[in-house]
Amino acid sequence: MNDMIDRYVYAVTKRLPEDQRLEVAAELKANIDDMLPTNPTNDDIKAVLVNLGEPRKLAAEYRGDKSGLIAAGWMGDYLMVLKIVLVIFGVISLVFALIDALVNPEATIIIGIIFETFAKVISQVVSSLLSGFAIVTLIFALISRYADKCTGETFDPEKLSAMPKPIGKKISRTGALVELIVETVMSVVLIYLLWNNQTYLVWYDEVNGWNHSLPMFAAEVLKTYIPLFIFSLAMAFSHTAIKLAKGQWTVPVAGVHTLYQLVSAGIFLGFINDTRLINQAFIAEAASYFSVAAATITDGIAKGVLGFSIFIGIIIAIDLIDTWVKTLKSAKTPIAKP
Amino acid sequence: MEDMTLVENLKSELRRGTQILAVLNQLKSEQYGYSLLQSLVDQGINIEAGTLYPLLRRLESQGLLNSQWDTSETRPRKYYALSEAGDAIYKQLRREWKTIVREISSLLKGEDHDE
Repeated sequence: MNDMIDRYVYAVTKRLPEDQRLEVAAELKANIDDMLPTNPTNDDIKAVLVNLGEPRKLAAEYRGDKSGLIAAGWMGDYLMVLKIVLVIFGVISLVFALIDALVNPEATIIIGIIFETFAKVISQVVSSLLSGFAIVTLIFALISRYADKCTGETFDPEKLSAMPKPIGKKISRTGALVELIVETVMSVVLIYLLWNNQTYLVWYDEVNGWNHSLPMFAAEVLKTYIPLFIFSLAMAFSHTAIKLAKGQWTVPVAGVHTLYQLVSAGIFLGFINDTRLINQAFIAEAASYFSVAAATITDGIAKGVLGFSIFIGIIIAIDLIDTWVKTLKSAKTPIAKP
Repeated sequence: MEDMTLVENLKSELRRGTQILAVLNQLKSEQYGYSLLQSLVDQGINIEAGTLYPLLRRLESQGLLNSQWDTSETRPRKYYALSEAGDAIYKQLRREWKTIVREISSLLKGEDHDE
């Protein structure tokens, strides 16, 4: 069966505000059905769709846009692209500004670092959102000014792009549960380790055998992180519950997911970047064992931590971009059965 | 080419307001999108489907029309009819239209013999 009508209706409604899509789709389908003869051929369908005109222009009629810098006919596309670009720019700049501010703080006291981080993150996110907005607007201003004059092509319904697979928007139940189980196990192991501070440095010594051991972490610093990890675990549970209950990637669900990812990553990055964490006695001992300066070991650890932090930042940025693209781009509301 | 699109744009701008008047006039009794399109075309009103359907929605959101889905038939259809407010506005627009016709006609009358 030919899905040209569905593709056409989708091409129109995806350019409309979300709350209008269901209704317009149902009505448009009913109208197209009315315009078709019984048992329509492919050509009949094509003729009706060509008669209705390009989806972009029909969507503009539905929106009732007035002409401006971006011509009415391009407004739907413009807003669609703008949303995606702003989310991507926002997430990337947020993650990188956070890493930058936390890794290279200029302030020396905690409260100073917190304020500095806030200021840096806000200014970087705002400036990258503004540049994203400017780039998209400029490109669309040019497109809307010149595109219609260049393309003499007439609209061909056969060439409408395929419908997105609705599966892309669904939240996989198994996926969400597996994610939760992995997160729980890892958090519990981490909290257990923090509590017991069992990570010792042990090495073999010709004279004494296996007896040189020193705790690797400073116990009192470690324990301050336990409430934060428990909080992060609680967030993991509640955000998985929300995902399972909603079952679909909607804007609020993606928002909750984003919040959870940023908070849990913030806690974890703050934890691994805390220089007070490593037991100084451990560093001194290790330095003397390997006959290097203590600073060399501290440096080495700092570099490793930085690399790991950037790696985590990139993973989270990719996850958030994927989530938002999935949520916004394939934000297709199913055709209503009124 | 440039002139042709300009003329087309101006013509459709000129038509736009009159199409609203025509639609309101036809919706004293309720009709669904396609039946309204047919009845307008039958009476010689030039309006495209791609203009009419969005127009109905806009007029509804402005409170000039009421609508309801009829699902009792095999094909569900959305029926539109003039609302009370729409009826009042229709009467004002009709009066306005008559004024415009009178004004513009007297203006154009002067040059009729030039063509």
